[in-house]
Amino acid sequence: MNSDHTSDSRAFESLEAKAYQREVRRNLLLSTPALIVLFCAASGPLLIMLVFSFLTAGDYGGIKWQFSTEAWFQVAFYKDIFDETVTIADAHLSIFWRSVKLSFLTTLVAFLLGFPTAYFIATRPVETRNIWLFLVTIPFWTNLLIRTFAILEIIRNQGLVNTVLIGLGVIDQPLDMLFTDIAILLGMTYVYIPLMILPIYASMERLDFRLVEAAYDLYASRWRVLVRVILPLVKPGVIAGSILVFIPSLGAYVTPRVLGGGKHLMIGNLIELQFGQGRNWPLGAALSLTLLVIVMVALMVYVRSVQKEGAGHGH
Amino acid sequence: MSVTVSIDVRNVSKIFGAGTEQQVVALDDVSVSIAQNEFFTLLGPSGCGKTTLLRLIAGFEHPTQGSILLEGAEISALPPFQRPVNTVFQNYALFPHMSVSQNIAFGLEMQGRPNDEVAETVHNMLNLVKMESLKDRRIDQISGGQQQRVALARALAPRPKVLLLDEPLSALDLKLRKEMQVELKRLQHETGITFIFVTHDQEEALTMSDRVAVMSEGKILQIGAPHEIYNRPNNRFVADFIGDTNFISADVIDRQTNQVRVRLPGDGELTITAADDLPAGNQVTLAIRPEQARIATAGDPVAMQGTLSDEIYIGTDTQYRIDIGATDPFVVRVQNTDGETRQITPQSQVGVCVDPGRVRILKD
Repeated sequence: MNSDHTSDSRAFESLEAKAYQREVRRNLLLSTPALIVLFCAASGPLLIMLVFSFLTAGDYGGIKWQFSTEAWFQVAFYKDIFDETVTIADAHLSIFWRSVKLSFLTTLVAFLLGFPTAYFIATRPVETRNIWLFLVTIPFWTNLLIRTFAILEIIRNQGLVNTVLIGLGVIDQPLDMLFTDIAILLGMTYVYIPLMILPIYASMERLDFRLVEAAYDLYASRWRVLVRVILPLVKPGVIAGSILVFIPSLGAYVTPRVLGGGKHLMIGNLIELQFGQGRNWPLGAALSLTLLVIVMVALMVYVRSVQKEGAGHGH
Repeated sequence: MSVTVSIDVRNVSKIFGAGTEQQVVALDDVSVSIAQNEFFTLLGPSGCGKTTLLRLIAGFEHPTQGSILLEGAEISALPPFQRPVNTVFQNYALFPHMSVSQNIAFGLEMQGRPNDEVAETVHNMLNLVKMESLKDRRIDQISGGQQQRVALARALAPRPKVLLLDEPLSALDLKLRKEMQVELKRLQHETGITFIFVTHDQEEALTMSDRVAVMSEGKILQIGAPHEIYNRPNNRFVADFIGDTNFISADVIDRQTNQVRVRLPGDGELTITAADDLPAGNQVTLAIRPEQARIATAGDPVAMQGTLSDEIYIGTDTQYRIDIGATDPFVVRVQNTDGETRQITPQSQVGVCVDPGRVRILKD
């Protein structure tokens, strides 16, 4: 009786193990398409980039299958072709610096404009909120390039702003707005601001406005309520919005290309240059990976600092 | 003893959506004076305007008409953060991103009090509401009853001149609610702050308040001490809303000085004290509390006759429902003494006698 029982349970265990194996196999099979997509779209290209960055540039573009760390060297240093003196690659560094600076400013301006907008939408009656959200998303319907050229039309020397200002007699000479960092900042803010508004709105919509009333009741002025109650409570939205704006800004290509006029390059343009006119694919690959690292480091620093602040608040 | 007025509400009306088609009159020409150190309750069903009145005093809304004075100074135009008035909200509205002690310190910090004073007051408040041991907890780590205490401490910490309480006990279970009723009364006594308490629970209002204002449809119907409101309701709504009441239609058949004689259903007659001028021939409504009537025994003057339709035992009392030929049965409540009830045969004929001095004649 007893032995029967143990053999029974052993048989049951082996059956169970088989069922488990079958399930693992089936799950693997089911997730294969997703894994293939992930490999083709993410890890694969990254791997190719990594390999290319350690190869030698071909004479007319492309690569030669010859190991070299030259590309990584070129990211930060510049070797004179005649006397072989090594200097720091000012051009690259200033482009990196401009990219980080402009992306940061874009995020800041998008926050300063997007936060009040999100607050405005979240405090409308429920029936009209969707209309406002709809208006925020309308620009997405038009191609980015066309929208960027529209901005160009507005700010160029004979454009809308200058024509109106001159017509009104405010200025005599057209303001030089096009092909400056300001133009790029304006363009990027315009393009990415919905990505700031929407996550902040999502947080704000869940905000319990009775807490705002409670703060007013406890002698907090409007500014204090904003800083001490509203901002800490919608922080997740602000974090998400900032990340969503900062990262694409850092890799922006079209906006600096059109509004920066080829003089004010950002990392995206620099990379494109290496694969095009520069005919230096390994350098392009190395620059791309550098951009990736900058993004990851910036993200980590940002999230870490925000979390620390949050922990300090929570005590 | 001179009574100083704390909050003086003068002819205040509040109309939401004024001028539009959907305008709602939340308060209609309300006037009330609340004395310093008074526990004052606004009592009424939901939608009667009691919360609106509270929000007007707090400053979250501004009156359409009329004025609100705090110790003689007009405050109705001030924003909430400039009024020495604090609120305990119905859902407590504690800040979820702050600890218990940070919540309590908030008002003090916003007032710009020095750090050591803030720390000391927070400490005292934690002691006052017996939350010292949980001061570093997050709000979502404490129970509803504890949140209630924190909300009270937070509102009391800046020592407001008036504390507003918006149904603060409604989310608590019965036992905790009873405890908090006693606790609130104690806090009010210890702090000496004027409390204005909003509730729809008549028992809460009667147990805790110095005075109660009964509200309905944007108006204050009666203001008085709990026993006045209970024993001498001046209209049908108040009598109905507070406690159980039998309403009986009667005809005035004779009138002498300060007295009227009325004919009850079933042709019984009763002589009642009445100050109002009620000529013979008027129809009036009488309000009789169930505990102010009894089942007649031999020799009692019987006011009404009826058939006993139900006998309901409720522990301390027994309720007899007597069919007197009106739409609603007449309810008599008798206190049970010595744990035994008087046995009356169901469906038998019984007489009801009432104390004429306790019967109220109501204006409808």
